[in-house]
Amino acid sequence: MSNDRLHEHFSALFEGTLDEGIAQQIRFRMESDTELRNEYAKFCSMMEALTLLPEEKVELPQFLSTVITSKLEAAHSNRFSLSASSLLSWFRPILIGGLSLALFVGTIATIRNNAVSPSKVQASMTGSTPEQVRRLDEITIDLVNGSPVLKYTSSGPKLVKISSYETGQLLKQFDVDSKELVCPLQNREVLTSAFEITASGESVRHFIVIPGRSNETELKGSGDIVEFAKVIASRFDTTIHLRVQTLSPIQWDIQESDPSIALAKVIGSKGFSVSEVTPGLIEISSTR
Amino acid sequence: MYDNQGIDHGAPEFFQSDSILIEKIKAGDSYALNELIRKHQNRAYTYAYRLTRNPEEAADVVADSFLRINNSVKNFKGNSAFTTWLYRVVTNCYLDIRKKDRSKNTVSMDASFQLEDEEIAREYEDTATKTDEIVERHQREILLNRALDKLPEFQKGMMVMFHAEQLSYEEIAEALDLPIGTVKSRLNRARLSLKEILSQDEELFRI
Repeated sequence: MSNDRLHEHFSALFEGTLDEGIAQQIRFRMESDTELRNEYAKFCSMMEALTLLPEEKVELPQFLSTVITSKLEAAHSNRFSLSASSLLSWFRPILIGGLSLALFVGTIATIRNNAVSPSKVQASMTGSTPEQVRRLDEITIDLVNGSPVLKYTSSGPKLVKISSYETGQLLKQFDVDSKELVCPLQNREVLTSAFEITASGESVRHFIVIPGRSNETELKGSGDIVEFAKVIASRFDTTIHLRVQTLSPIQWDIQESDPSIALAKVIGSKGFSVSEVTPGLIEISSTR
Repeated sequence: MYDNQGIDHGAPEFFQSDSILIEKIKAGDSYALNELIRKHQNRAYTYAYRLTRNPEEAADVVADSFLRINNSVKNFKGNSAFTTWLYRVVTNCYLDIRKKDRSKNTVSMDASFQLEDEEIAREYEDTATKTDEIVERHQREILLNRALDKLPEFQKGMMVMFHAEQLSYEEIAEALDLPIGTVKSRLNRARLSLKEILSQDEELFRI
């Protein structure tokens, strides 16, 4: 065995894990080979010296948190052109966790104050559904100037969360204690994306599917009801509000030129009702 | 733990396991990432500092690492410990940063290495009092770290993981996604290279 080959076993020899036959062979060679013996002695000294490394005390610099936060903020800013600096301020406490946002929750999220009576709620309704009576503890979507706006009026202490369906990231959460929440939703991504809205005590799952800048989509495919809604939203450039119990698997092959017909054909017999709330906004609800 | 809106996010960070925190992050809980960072930033920074020997660069590596973790947490299956994944990410971020400014660092490292050698030689000429032993020990650490700096980055990462962070061969294999045999043979090669570098300073082997 050449010396180079013997060197390959130095670590195992030092650690005592080398096959005894090879270990004896190396020891035997060392007895007559001064150079090899010296090399191994140096190797052992170095291994001993390396035991110093874990003892080194490394102090956390005070600027570490700032560097981490800044980098996360920068990444966030690069991905989204935030128009209101107040949003960043609001975000700062949770910014570290809120980066992979596929969607953008509007900057004009407002919570109107206290003890909103049903009549007052009705009076505050604006947009395209003036006749609809807004009920307490109900997640609703309106189109205001063509853009979807989440509205929620709580009867008591409720936590409303808005997450990205694609990433699962929590985008915003609101503590709405007897208040009305008005929150514009906006998709600034190229592709169609979806928000999931949850409110404490709500048994139905709500998804708001909003088209992106591109209407490219696969008209034939399979997935859950949200994936299907994304295809419809993309194909027909419409916002879809889903109220569903479960995300059951669905297959589709869209050939129709009207979204309601396409939806009815694929999910009409699967326990869903479809209604066009207003041009540009479709609502799909579980009927089971 | 309550946020600024009075919302309870569960038990304080050190009472929550990594797997629970990661599941919370996956579910969109931003505070869970904060907790994960607070829990592991010390370990991440220590490792990054040992790789870079530069506080600013180490902080950059750590920040990049947590950013990368946040972006890819959905892909973390939990088959290995979070810390193993953390080591992998920190190692990769370190390699990426070094790749970007390799030439600049090489020049400055060589220059400072020569300067440190001279200082060490002066210390070794002093008498072996207890104080001097401490100084020598410190200088020996410096010498070792300077020698580690001369290894290729990938070898250095492995050496720091094993000898400074005291990870096992198995843990390194998991972190670097390599067979254990490969880790052992590469570490042996790295040690032989380090021995050659250190051989240039015989003082190390006299202590």
